[in-house]
Amino acid sequence: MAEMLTHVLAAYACATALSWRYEWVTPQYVTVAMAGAMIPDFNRIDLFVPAAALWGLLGVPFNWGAFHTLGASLLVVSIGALTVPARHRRKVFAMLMLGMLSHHALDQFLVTASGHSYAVLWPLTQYHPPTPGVYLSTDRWPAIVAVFLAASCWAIDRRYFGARARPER
Amino acid sequence: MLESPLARAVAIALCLCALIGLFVWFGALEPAPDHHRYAGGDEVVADADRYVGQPVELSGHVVATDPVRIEVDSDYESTELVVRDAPAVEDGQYLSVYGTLTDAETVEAEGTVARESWEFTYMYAVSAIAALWVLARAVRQWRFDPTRGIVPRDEPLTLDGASSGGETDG
Repeated sequence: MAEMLTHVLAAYACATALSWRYEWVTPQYVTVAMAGAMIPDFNRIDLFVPAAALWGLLGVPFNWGAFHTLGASLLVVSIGALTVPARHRRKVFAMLMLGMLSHHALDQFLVTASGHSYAVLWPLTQYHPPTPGVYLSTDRWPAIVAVFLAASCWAIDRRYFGARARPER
Repeated sequence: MLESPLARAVAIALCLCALIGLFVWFGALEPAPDHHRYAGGDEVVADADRYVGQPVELSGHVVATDPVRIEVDSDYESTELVVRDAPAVEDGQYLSVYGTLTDAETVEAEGTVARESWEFTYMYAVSAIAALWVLARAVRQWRFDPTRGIVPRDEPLTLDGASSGGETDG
């Protein structure tokens, strides 16, 4: 992954920019997009609940890595959308999708030893697409770029769209 | 649209079952080199002999430099591998390797990525900050209503706890 800050800032920037075009994207829905950007990295739950332990406990294979594929990411987005009443569901689904897809999109550019990323389209296919290898998950500059982009969007939002944003602040 | 709490609960339960199914299925997947899904640290630590002659993609901490040896961890076990054609690395660095497992203890590297351990600390720390930021925004802007689920707040939650609650209509 790029580290979480870059993903969350990228989702913040995208959602804030979208709010200039779509009135319903209030800061609350920007937050939903930011949360969506975290979904693929739920596989990090392995640090707290090791898959091997579950494997032993349940007697079946288990790998949290599925979180970092479109299939499981989409299921998590769906669960998230189902936690809100129907009147908010389409908006929440759309913003969770935005965040989740932006995460996968950014991760397609990670440097890897093999030159290929991961099974992003699983379970449709196990194919690991080639990556142009632009940055490492541990690099600092992507976060700097993301902070700049997010700050720019925040400034533009405040300067030109402040009135509309007021109800939430 | 699923309106009733029961319909939503059933739908969530179905999604959770499908999700668990995916974790199990993913856990059962075998390497598929033609899809660029190579055997990794978990497979090699468990049964290196099975993957001799095949491409592998794994990583570990550098524990020796002449020849370069890395310690590859899976959840409960670890193994040391010699890395041929490795870049200049130092003890303690983290090396990711793509190459061929020439024997049960040696990888011939074709692609490598070396990183310092502190860089991972940075990554985790910055990620934790991001997660806390999103959590703070979520708690301020949304709330849980036992009858309706997660709903937006009318007014953001402030530090002194003053909040007019959430939606009161429909």
